[in-house]
Amino acid sequence: MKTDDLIAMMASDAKPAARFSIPRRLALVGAATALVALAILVPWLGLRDMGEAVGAASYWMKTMYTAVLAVGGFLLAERLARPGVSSRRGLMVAIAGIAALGAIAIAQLATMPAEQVSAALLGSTWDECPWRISLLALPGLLGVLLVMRKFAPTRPALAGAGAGLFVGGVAATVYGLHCGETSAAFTLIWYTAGIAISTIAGTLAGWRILRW
Amino acid sequence: MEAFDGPLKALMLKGLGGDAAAHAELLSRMATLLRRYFARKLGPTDQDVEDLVQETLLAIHLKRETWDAAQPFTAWAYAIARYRLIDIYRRRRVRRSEPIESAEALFAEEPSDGSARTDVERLLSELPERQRAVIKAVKLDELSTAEAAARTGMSESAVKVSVHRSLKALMRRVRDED
Repeated sequence: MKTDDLIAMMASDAKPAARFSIPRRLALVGAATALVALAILVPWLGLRDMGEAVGAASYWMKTMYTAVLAVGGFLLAERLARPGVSSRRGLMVAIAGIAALGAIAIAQLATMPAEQVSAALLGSTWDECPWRISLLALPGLLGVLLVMRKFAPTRPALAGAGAGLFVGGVAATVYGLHCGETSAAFTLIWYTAGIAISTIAGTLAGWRILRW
Repeated sequence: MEAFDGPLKALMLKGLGGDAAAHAELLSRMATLLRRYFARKLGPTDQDVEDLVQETLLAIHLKRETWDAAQPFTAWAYAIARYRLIDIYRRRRVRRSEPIESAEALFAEEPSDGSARTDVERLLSELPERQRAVIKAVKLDELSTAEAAARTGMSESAVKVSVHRSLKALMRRVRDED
């Protein structure tokens, strides 16, 4: 086929742009991720006493942290879905979130009696938390990768990482509705580990399936 | 660079608004630029040049929603062209790195001429009969979609959907070539 014919064909296919923009579609998939994670969490593990949770600073600290990572992942995925743009902002948001929680964790650990440190680091659910978060993120990861496939990531692995961070952050935020752990160090280590599993899975999957 | 970006951006915006003539103009201008760019990278006689031009045009067309109007059009188009170029290196199993240049690499003036190869035509021949008939009517016989609809007995919107599907199928086939 001659290039000119191809161009004529594409011109006849010109039509007003898609109704849903990239950020809008990613936001929708994020909302779906949260709903699916919640639908799994409630029958599986149940919710914690939310009346108590909303009055606890530790609950808001965890929720803020995971939400900031979700926002960082969203910004990364939204930028990396497009050719030729910088994606630095999302990375900065995620790093800032980790650094802020790190500072809180250090301050807490430095001021607590030595015999409480191990409880602050491990809580009572350290060996379950990362797996639960990554499992809750899994349906969302599949969804967000399918959505990302429609876009044009020129760095597929990185785009997959951003997508994995995004849904991992969302799933961890939902998991906070169950988890009663209170220390910053616990959140920093084990929540981050769960989100990291989702991010790594997104990286590997992105490398394979986000090419075009 | 602004000298390129302004007009191309204007055409892109019109095309996104549904202006077929502006869209065709944008794609023709890009075809010329891309031909020069790939010829410079692969050598003017390389057989893949025209294929790469067509693949990149397909991506520019099918993925046009990924362009952010706040972003220079040139940077977006260059990133797509470079991605296609790296892909051809990969498909040829040549280990080569392609440095990121400024988007000007795509818009540099250098005379070159490319001749069409038949790969896309072969791909086209593998499409389902109905889609092929529509494409033949719309493109090769230069009918409007309305005329093509009349000839093939499909509704005009069905013809448009068919054209769109064919373009996507072409792009997928490029993908599966590996």
